[in-house]
Order: sequence, then structure tokens, then C-alpha cells
Amino acid sequence: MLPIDAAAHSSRWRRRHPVDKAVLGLGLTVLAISLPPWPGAALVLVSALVLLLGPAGVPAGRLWRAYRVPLGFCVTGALTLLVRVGGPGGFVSPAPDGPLRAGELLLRTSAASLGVLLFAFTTPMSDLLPRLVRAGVPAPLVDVALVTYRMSFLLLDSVRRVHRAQAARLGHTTRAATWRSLGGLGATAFVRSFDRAARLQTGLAGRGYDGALRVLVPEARVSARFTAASVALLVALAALTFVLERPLS
Amino acid sequence: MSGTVLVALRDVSFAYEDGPPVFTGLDFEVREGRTLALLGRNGSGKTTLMRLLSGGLRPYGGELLLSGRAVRHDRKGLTALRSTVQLVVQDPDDQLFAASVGQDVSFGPLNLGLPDAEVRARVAEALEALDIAALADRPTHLLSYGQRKRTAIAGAVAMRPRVLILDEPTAGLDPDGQERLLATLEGLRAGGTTVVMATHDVDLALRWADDAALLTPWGAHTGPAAEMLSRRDLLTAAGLRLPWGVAAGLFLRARGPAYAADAGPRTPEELAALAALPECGERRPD
Repeated sequence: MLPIDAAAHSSRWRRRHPVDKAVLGLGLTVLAISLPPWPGAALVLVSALVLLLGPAGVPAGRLWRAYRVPLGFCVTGALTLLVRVGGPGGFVSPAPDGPLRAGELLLRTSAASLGVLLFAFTTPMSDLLPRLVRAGVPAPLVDVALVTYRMSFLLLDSVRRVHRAQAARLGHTTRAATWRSLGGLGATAFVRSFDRAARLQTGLAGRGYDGALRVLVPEARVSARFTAASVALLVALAALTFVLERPLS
Repeated sequence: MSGTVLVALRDVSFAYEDGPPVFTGLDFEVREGRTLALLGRNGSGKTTLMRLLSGGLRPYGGELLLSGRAVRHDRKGLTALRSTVQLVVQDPDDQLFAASVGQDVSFGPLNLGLPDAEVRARVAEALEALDIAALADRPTHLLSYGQRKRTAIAGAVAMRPRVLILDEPTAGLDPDGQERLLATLEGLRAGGTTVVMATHDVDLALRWADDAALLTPWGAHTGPAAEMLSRRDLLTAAGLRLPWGVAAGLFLRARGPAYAADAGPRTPEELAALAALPECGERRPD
């Protein structure tokens, strides 16, 4: 299971309406992008971390396993700002204000990522996808997302099994064998996906599938208190940022 | 065999594209309130037969009857059929598509156009019947194989079918899982559902089913399970063996006249009762 998926299902906020969590998580993301990076993005980052590890009940280990991927992209992006290509300093030279700009970018992107992950870590796909249709997203698009979500786990499982079977027959002992096995694995996964899709359609037809994947939307209500508290937090963070705002350098 | 005929195939012929005929002039009946085991060798047409009965395949000859009326393979006809007859396929992953157990089970009832409250009630009832109410919010990709099987069956049960057709439901389950599933099926049968099960397990069929249908190269042969599963000729033609209960019964019958009237035993308890009869007792070593 993906760490983010596991976290969403075990979160204390799992039963909350997705709108509650969207206001808070996406609100933090907007603040991280729009407020001055110091101290705005830093405050957002700390707040999101406290909320995730505290009230939302996301285990730190799971958070780290899922967060390190987007964080890797943030760091990679920031590193490129440290250097300048061409110019008087040579082909590659340290960029003027590079550390400052890299720090700002890292703060902004890592805080914004945590804001998005706050929503993702507390909202299982089963709560979100059926509601997207009500929110105006075209039903066929949501159906594709729903089936892709389910099929991706089946495909991963299938790939793991084939890989294990190949390894057991020494299919990964040499580089040539590995490439040959990977080719076979890709082809098998492709064919199996088509076969699985055809069989799934047959299985669904038996339950009256007519082109639309209708499922029950989990019962939950938008909490006025939670939303109000979220908005209050966002406003407080913005106000605090403007009060404390100082140049980073 | 007693019971009204609910679903029937009359003079049905079927072949897959570019393949030899699977059935030619097949007659087959599913009777209300009975449990029916469908047995045959691999490739004998068990799955094809079940898909014909549930409207998933259209015969090129003959007809499918629901309560005596021919089923039209159009949207209206199939909707009527599928609200009465439900097929659970062998691999649960061919059926489960939703992100959570409860949502997957709700799919069929929602397609019947039922209001949300009614759907929720049916979902709760089906999950309860399959003993998986605690899994309602679990993501389907986190379920064990046995749990996925139960979820797939719950998806069909939530349609409240009068006939539930199961393609090898015990395959891949451990003995405990098999026993739990059989107890569940017994509960469904007690609630009035007619259950048809395809299986290779002759011992299970003898123990569980009222009737058995053996698919041989000469067609389907249906009758009381104890009688059909004692027919060596049909069992051999169907690529099956004698159930151990029947074999034990034959052995015991050979030892005394008291066993002559019985075709069983079907269960260990029946075997124990037979073994306790005087004719057998006199011959047992101390």
C-alpha cells in the first residue's frame, strides 16, 4: 500500500468532510505560495507539520516516507538556483543571491507541498472521487480516475508477481537477462491490463453497468466550526507573517 | 427434483468466435429453493453455462427462460434478468472496481435506480450476511483474497437476487474460509436464495448440494446430488472421481444389508452413524 494511502485511511480526520480538509490544506498551500517566504512559508510549514502530526494523527514515519518524494523535487529545484551557467564567472559559477533564492524557493515549495499533503494524508480516494461528480467534474473523467486507482494496485501486484517468477528462474542474474526479463515483464503487464479490463467490464455488466460507475458517497457533513477554525488559522498566519516580516539576508 | 423452474436454457447452442461448439441443444434448469452444484472437467463449459444463465453470453440457438418467459438480450430484458439472477465470477478482482468495500457493494443497487437510503440498507444487509460489516470502509486493495471473495459475493447479494450463481467460490480459500463461506451460503439459502455453485470438489458437492449437474461431452446430466455423484459412468465422463463419502458408502454397503438403502454417507456424522450399525460393528477389529 502506498504510504499516503495508508496515512489517509488511518488519519483521525478521515471521517471529516473533504471540504473541511480542502479549506485547511489548500488554504495553507495558497498562503505558502502567496505570502513572503520568510517568515510566511516557514510558518505555514511548521503549522502544517504540527497539524499533520498532532490533530490529524499521521505517524511521523509514514509522513516522512510520503513527503520525501515531493521534497526531493523541491530540493532539486532549489539546487539549480545556486549556480549560474555562463557569464563572467565561467561556464558554471555560483549565482549571486543563489543561496537566498534557493532558500526561499525551498521554503515555499516544501510548505506548499505539505499543505497539499495535509489534504491528501487525511482524505482517502474513496471519500474524494465520488464527490468530484457532485462538484462538477465530468463523470467519465471521475470514472476513469476511479478505475485507474483500483487497476494500478492490481497492475503493481501483477508486476511484482511476474518479477518474482522471473527472478526465481534466474531472469535477473545478468544485465542481458535483466533487460530481456524487463521486456517480457512490460509486454506481459500490457497484455494483462487489457485482459483484466475486459474481464472487469464483464464482471460489472452483471451488476447492471451501463457506462456509469455509480457508488455511494460516504456520509459526512461540512463542519462550520472546523471550517471557521481553519479560516481563523489561515488569517492568523497571514497576519503574523506581515508582523514578523524581515528580509532573510 | 422439486421446486419451480426459475431459470432455464432450452435447446441452447453456443460457440465462442472461431471455436468449436461448447453446447449444442443444451437443456438446463435451475429450480427455486434448491442448491445446485455444477461439476465438470476444466474446459467442459461450466463458466460458459453460468454466463449463459446470467445473460452474460447470448446463445446463437435456443433460448434463456426466466420464470417460463424468454429473456430478450436487450437492456430491459437483461436488467430484469440481472435483478433476479446474479453471477459471482471466479476471480474477485474481475468484479471489484471501487475504492472501498461499501462503495463496491453499493454499485449494483444504485444501478437498479434505488434511492440512497434503500441502497445503504441493502449494503449493510449484504455486508452483514457475508460477515464483513467491519470492512465497509476498507480499501479493496487492502483485502485478503478471502475477504475479496466475500466482498464480490456481497456485491451480488446486495442486488437481492433469487438465484445466486457462484463460479468456484471456494477455490483458493483455506479450509476455515471454505467452511465460513459454506455457512454463509447456507444462510442465504435459508433466506430463500437459490444457490448454484460451480466446483471441482465432488466431496463438497455431495455435502452441500441438493442437486448436482455433471457436464460431460454428451451434455449436462442433472439430478439429486447423492444419486448423480454415485454414477461412476458420468463421473468418469466428467473427469471426476467418486466422492469419498460415496466410496465409503459402497465399501460399507458391501459389508451388510443395512447400508443397501443409502447412497451416502454425505458427512462424517452420517458415516459415523453408519459405522455404528451392528453389521459393521461385528466386523470391526477391537
